[in-house]
Amino acid sequence: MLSTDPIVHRYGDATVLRAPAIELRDDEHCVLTGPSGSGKSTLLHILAGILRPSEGTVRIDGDNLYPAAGRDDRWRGQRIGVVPQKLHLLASLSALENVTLACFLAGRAEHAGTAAPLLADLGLGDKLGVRPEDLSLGEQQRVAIARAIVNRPRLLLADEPSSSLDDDNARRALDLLFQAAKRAGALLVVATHDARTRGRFRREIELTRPA
Amino acid sequence: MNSLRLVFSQLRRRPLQTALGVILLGLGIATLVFVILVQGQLARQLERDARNVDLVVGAKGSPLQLVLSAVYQVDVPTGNVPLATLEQLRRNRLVAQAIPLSMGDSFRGFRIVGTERAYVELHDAKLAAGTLWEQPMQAVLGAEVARVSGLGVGSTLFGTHGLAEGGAVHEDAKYQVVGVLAPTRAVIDRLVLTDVASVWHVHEGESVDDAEREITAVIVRYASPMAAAIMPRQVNADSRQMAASPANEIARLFAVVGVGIDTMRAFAWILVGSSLLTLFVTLFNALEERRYDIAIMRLLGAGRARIAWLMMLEAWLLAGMALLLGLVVGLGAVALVGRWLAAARAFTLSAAEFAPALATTLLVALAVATLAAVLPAWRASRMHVARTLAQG
Repeated sequence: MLSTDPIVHRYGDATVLRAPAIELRDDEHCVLTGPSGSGKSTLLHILAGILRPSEGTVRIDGDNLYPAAGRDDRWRGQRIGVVPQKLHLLASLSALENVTLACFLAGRAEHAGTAAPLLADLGLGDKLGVRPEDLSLGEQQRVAIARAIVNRPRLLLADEPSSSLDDDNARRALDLLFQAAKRAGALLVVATHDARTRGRFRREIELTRPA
Repeated sequence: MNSLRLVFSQLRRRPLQTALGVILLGLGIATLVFVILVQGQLARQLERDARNVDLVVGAKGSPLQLVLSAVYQVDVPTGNVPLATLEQLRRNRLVAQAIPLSMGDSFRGFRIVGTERAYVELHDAKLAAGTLWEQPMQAVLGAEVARVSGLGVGSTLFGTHGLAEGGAVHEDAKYQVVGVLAPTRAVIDRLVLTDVASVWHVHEGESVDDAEREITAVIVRYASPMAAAIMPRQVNADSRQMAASPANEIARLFAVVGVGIDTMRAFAWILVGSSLLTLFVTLFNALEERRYDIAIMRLLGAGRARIAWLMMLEAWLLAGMALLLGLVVGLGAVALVGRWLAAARAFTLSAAEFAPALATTLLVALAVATLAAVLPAWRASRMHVARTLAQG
């Protein structure tokens, strides 16, 4: 489902990422680990389709994510869901609107009707009209997860989803991500330096700081 | 979810900045509306009232005063001239038409003008009811007079001495209303017309000899263009009388009033200019505040064009609100001044004729919004998504 060449990324002369080739099937949920500075977030951005790598490329279901002519932003929005580390919900929109925004921007208006039931399943049925500033951090994270999977993406990416949470909540956050990936039929890739999470993934890719 | 709701929700996040931009642009547009309507209607009205009037002959004094009093019926007359003046003008081969005007009395602030039936034809006025006067002491009301006084055919009215409201009532100036004119939106709407002999009847009695009779002014139409070069000199040769050309006097008047209008127009453009700067700063700040929002929207599938379009849409929405505000305030001001002018029995100024201001203000609002938003929109669309997200 997801396959990459060995990937190198540089900013100017500095190499910030050196990753091995990746080959993952639909259910081979994977964790990206490594010390800070090893390029986990950079690789996640490359897998998300928003950062063209200096060397190597990424394929989703055989389709090149970085063809020479570039990819339509919608194409990416429809196939890849991302839960950023800092969530970045739009403060001006309600929980429900934050989710339907993803449908609107990815050109998948037909999925907007599933946003409310999805949020209800995530335990936010009574918070649909609430703005992010009035939600707890855990609730905000669930809204961000709903936003990432409402378009039923093939690939679900999460950046440090548990690092700022206590043990219970970290486990719960990961549970939610696994359920979300299952529900969407997506491959889950999580970047983390949180050792608590590593044992739960079938695959692990460990990055080292590039020399 | 759609673009409009998205933009609206973001405008609601910063009501103060939004209001400031809207109010500034709105006031600029309001001032523009006011200037455009006042100047347009004033010029049109001055031109319409003076149509077919080539020359005014009256007593020596200020030519502008003579034109304002005899053609526009706003200033006091310069004095009287002998009735013989009218006969002289009629014998002149350069004159196609000479119409006498006799003023001095009013009815509820509307002037009672003694004249001939040709004056009604001069203004292309049509009767809405009744007939024109057949004999002295019969009166025909202009449309505005009839509307304000509520009088109609068959009513009677008493003239009061003087042109302003509140003069002494002439007990013997009892007029019979025989006709009401249809609205022309010209000066004749604000007049009570009667036979020139009525004024003599009221002021001098029947006994006076024709040789001693006077009129206030004569309106002249030339028989040939050549007359413009000769007539004024011929008239001015007699030291008791004076000729004034409405076209020349109004051009002089506009040279003076024009400064005021130009100042107001400049003020309007300063407001529009500063609103452009304010809008630009507002949008640029919004760009900074919302860079994560923009990065997220790109991540969710919005292309560069969509991001730019949302920014433009935001500016256009602000401009749309400002346009609405500007039209309401500007037309409100015009209506207010119009009512004040109507109460003073002077020019008519109507907010209903707002069409000429629409196109200009729409264009101004659109241009301001577009100019203010182009750079922020371009910057927003060029934002580096991954780098922005990596920052926070």
